[in-house]
Amino acid sequence: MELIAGRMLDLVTLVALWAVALFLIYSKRDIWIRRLPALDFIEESVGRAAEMGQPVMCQGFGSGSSGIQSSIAPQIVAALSVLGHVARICARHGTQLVATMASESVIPVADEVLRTAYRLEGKSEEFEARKEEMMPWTPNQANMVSAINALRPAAHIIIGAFWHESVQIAEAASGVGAVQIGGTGRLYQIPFFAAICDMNLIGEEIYAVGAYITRTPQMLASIATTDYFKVISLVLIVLGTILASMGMSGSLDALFTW
Amino acid sequence: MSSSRTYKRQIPLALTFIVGIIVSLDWFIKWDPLQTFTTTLMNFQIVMVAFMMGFAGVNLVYLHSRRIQRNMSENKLFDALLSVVLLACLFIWVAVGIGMGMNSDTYKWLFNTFNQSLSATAYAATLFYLASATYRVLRIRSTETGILLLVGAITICANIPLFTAYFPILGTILVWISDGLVKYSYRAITIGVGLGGILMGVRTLLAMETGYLGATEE
Repeated sequence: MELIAGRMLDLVTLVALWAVALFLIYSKRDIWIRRLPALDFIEESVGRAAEMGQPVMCQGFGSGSSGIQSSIAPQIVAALSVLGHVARICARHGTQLVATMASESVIPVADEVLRTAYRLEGKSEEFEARKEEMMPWTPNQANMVSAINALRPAAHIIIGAFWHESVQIAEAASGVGAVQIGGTGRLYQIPFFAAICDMNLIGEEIYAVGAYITRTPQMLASIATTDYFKVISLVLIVLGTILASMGMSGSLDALFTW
Repeated sequence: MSSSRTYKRQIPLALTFIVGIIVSLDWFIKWDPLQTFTTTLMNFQIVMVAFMMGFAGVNLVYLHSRRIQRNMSENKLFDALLSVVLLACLFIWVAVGIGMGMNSDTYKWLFNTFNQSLSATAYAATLFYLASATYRVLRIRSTETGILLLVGAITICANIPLFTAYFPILGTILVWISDGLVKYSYRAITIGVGLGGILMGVRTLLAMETGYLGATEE
């Protein structure tokens, strides 16, 4: 048994991250996190849909062959957290909810999320009666756009991992007059959502959804850990820039290939 | 503790923690038994995904059979026809795939004729959506959108040879924008997304993030 060379810095960073996260989680400090207007806007957009008698549509549950077993799993989990939250509000207001499924591996999980949300609002029968229409199968962008044009949602919540289809889907929803909340961790799709959607979750904000909704001290502590490490990253960037400017790139290379 | 809760919550959470730790360790430690075990786990995943695909196929047949019955009884013949087309395609595709193989000429013909051309059409439609999205974003509504318009105009002009021929400075400005501002902003977002993703993993292993189990707010 031996440690693999070149990955030691990764290991040290990961252990440090775990240590800080666990310390903050179990120290039970009061942690403040800033407002995420996009998430606060969800209730308002569902209310708008209820008033207009049109559905709320959620998208972002996988993409083609990429499902909950792939590298986009964290973004799907974030999208599922939002789905649970939206489903409860929809069940409370009696608003029609449609969550399009783009990966077969997400369907059973989304089914359970929706079932739980409707049960918690005492609307299990409604879920069982409408389950079939609630989760249409839309494996590619053509299906997603068709679903938007056919259902004409009043609110469109599009959070998760998307590729070039992001612009097609979001623009189609804009075309039918839906208010939109968009968010993705996929770098090159962020500008599309910023351009088209009314409210945005940028980058890592989508991972904070679960904590923001549940507001448990442990979840908030893990979000604070991200912020601490962002500060550390910033310090390292400044330090690296200084060292590189002083012609000490060799020391940096040695550090990062350790 | 009810057996349902144990079955649906505690066991999956325990399995997630154990498997997550083992797979993470495999990235850092070179040890044959660990690698063999991780490979076996990965194979489990492939089998489970294949099973899910099969299950999804069966579910699709069940769902659309019911839909055909319901639409026929409600006299929605066009909707029923769409489900019939879908099921026919599914059966033909599966039969050709299993019977002749995925490398057969018939399978390739089906793929190239239908799937490929329809996908290309859908992809091409992106252009029109992109154009209308560009129009939407390049309207001045605030200081930020004004700056966006300026940067957008420079980027567009710098990519047109006619403009760069008369104003070579545009090319220099474009390089400064894309290699400077854009790259560094993206790196900042990348660091945030990376840290957020890792912390999401930590929360999942610690059974705090349970969205993947279905019950997110119970």
